[in-house]
Amino acid sequence: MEQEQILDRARPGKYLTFLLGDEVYGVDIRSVQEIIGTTPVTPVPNCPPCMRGIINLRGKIIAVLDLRLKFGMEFRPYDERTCFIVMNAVMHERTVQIGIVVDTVLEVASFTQEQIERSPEFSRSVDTSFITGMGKRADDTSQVVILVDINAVIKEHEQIPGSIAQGNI
Amino acid sequence: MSNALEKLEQAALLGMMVTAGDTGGVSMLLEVLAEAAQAATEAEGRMILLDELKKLEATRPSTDAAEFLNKTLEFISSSQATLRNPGAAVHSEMGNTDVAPNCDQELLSDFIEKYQTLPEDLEAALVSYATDGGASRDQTFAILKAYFHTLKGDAGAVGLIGFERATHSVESSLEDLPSELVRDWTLEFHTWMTKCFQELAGGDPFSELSDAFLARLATLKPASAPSNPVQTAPVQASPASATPSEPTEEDPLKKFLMATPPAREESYQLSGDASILNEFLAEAEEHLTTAEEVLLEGASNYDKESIDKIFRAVHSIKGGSAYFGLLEITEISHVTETMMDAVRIGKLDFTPAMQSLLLEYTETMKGLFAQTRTAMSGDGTIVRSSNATKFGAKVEDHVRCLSILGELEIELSAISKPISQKPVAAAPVVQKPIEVVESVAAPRAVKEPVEEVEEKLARNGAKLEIKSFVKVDTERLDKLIDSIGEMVIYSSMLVRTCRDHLADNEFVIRTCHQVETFSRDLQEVGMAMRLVPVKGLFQKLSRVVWDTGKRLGKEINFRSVGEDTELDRTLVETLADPLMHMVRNAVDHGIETTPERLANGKSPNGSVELRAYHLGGSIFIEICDDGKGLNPEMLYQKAVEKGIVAPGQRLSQQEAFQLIFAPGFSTAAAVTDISGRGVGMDVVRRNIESVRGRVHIESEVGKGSVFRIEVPLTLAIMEGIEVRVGEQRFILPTLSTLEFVCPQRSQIQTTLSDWETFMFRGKYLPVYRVSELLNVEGAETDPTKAVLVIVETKGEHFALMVDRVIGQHSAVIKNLGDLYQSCPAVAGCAIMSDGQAALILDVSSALTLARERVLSRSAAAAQAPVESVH
Repeated sequence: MEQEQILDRARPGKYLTFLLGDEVYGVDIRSVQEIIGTTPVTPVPNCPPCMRGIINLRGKIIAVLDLRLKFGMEFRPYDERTCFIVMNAVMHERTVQIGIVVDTVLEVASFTQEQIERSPEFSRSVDTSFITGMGKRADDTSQVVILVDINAVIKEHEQIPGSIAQGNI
Repeated sequence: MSNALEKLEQAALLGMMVTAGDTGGVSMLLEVLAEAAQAATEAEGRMILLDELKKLEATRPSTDAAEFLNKTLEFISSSQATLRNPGAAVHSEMGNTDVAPNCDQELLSDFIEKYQTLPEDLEAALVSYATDGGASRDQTFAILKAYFHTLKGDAGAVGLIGFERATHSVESSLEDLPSELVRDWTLEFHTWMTKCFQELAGGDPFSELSDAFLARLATLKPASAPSNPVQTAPVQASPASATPSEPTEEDPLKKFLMATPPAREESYQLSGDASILNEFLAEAEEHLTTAEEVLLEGASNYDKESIDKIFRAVHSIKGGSAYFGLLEITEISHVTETMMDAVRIGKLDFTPAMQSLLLEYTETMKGLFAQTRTAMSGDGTIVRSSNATKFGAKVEDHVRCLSILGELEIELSAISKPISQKPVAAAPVVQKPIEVVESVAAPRAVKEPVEEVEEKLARNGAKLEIKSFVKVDTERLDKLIDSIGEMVIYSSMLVRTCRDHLADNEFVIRTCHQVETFSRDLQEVGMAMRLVPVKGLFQKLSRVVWDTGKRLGKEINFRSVGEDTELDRTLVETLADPLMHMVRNAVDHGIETTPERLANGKSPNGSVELRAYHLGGSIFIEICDDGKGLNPEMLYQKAVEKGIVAPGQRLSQQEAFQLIFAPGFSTAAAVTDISGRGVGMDVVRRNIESVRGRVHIESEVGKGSVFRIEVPLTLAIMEGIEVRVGEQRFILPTLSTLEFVCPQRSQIQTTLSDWETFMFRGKYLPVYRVSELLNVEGAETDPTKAVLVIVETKGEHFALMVDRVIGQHSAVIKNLGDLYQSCPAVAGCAIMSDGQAALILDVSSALTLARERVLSRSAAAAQAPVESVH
């Protein structure tokens, strides 16, 4: 599977960009399944705060991860602009679907190899291993998009499969 | 059977034993043949026989000894054929001869189901063969031959003699056919066969018998080659003229005994398409299961039907394996088939040694199948296993031994013949051997007149029920069932919305009603598809009983009841291991040794019984033995010794019995190789609980024990109670829920460490607030305004405090997904009727979680770190 290994450098191609606070982020369009509006999330207890819970997407149970909380920003109540981006990530060599919560979705942008730069060392206390590069827009806005690898984002949520909760009722 | 035929049988047997160099033996053979010819009636063609025999004898001085013997043997088989089918005139009178009188309706319907359609690969091969002008000849013929060969065998086994005959003719003439005709013949044959099937199913006589069909087939001519000599082949092979190639006359036992073992390579290659091979393996395993079932069921008495079943199974495995180049499987199956064939036609008797041998065969086959599967994923090379080769040799030896016994009998009978013909010398001692010979010959099928056949068909309700099956990938099936589940949920959502908002639209409401009914039907069908009978599982277990009993030297009578009870497929898979363990335990620890049993005044043979039945919404599986039973006192002592139970702790009898499931508890003094393989009874219980089941034990010392396993009907759907805590909904499994109570203030006691207990029927139960366990905000904090759900897990009771009980809910259980693998106290989630997900509580892990909380809180209270206990 091509997306399996966590990339240290973002590949050129199309990215779906979205807003978290004032910052523009981008995820590889190939791992995006769909974008949905907010739906009520069923919380799952005793989990990290960024793991908001689960939703039912046409019969499939999908975990919801709030990217703001994940990235150490403060929680922002969901409104009509809030979106869930349903993505296919790879975990334990299996594809898992995850919904990430973003403030709002912007557009699809293309980046060539030249437009992607290595991510600078952030001086923030938050783990930034999931940032794979900075994409510079070609147009005059010279906006910088932070490119994120979804597989790296969920990496630390991996748990050994088949541990206690699986079984008994 | 006529005298002449009987004599011919003797001759055939004798012919197998005689070597070419043995002039005396050959002469004796000729004598027997002469007797046979004399004994033949006029109608049977005595004159012709005598004539032929004379001609044969005349050639003796001029031909080589070996060749002459071959000729003689040919003569025997051809005369047998003549005697069996004495002339076309008789034949046509018999009308419906294409069905043998012994045909079994069930087998017949299976047969029809199997051959109703041409196999896909065959059809494809035929098409490509016809279009590429013979380029794919070898491949096509391999497929064709495999098809006709199995068809022939199966037709013979179900008693469709006509088909057997016709198939044989077609099979043997295929090779020589011009390529344009191969396809025509095959398709023509298939059309004829399907027509016959329809007539058979309808209870009508065949409109075109095999002879007529073969004759018609022979007239089929390719446009380019109008006069091909080979086309006469089938006519020759038809029974009226009875050539030596007549299939019924082939004597595999004879051939087999004479054949020198083929040179054996050390490894060989798989051939054929992997997916078809996979299918073959699955089918072959089914065949094995059938054979095993018969073997274990019959125990002592084998009738013709069971022998046939085994034969058929082995035969089909052989046919298929040859096609895929699975040499080992083919060879061993061939040897075994030869043996079974000899038994089938009454040449050999079925012995207990054969039963063991056949069970060994099934074991060996399973090993080889596994090997084949491994080879499939690798480079397709299979290395011969020494075990399999040894086993093949073993069967051969066995057959040889039995045949030598047969030879002795023949000699005896040959000696006794001249004497017994004189009335004076008819002493009982001499008569005996003749009886033996008669009994050997007797089981051969005797043709009943046709009227009886028809009567039989009529008696059985005339119409055959032809069931048809489709093999479906389990993954696809699961997907379908999942989708049905979703469909049901969404249609009920839709219906509810419609009722709420469009209640005055009559059309909508009526349609809603129909949708509801339909979706309920759909759900039922979906559920039914997941269900499989426990039969297969029970069979595996009967094998375990047999094996274990044998190894321990205990004679066990095994019985199973309710084999048709249906169970969720995944349940069967999960229960297989625990049940096997329990059955093994029953034989090993439960059943006493024979001397012990006799000393206790019991029958020497122990008995183990498996029962399966439905009761309420559950399925029960019971393992009953009449062994020594469980002694609660002893169990208790042992548990105290091992520190599982505190000394002085009082246990009910059931609790004492349940101790055997405690980890680290073993009652057997010594660990045998049968029990104590590291999977303890605690694993058994865990496995059963993992499918929401439980085990109940009944036992009486000296009388035996009953282990009763209760599992839900299906895993896909769980009966649950929907409760509300704060803004959230949860589902509690109905199975663990005992009661709902709205507590009075006086019933709630707060203990020192700030934990509540609830007085319930004279017992103090701990109260755990779901809101605290699962960190739910906005929940009711006053117990008197809340509801206590009394739940039970692993024999313990406690109360869970929730805000409100909403109602019952049949939940389709869903996994939380990989990102929430280890979420304590949650078993999964379900989609509620409004489309939202709700969590399903896992009562037993909720208890564990609650205890951890108690510990950590009291630890915090004591301001001393205490290790939390799992």
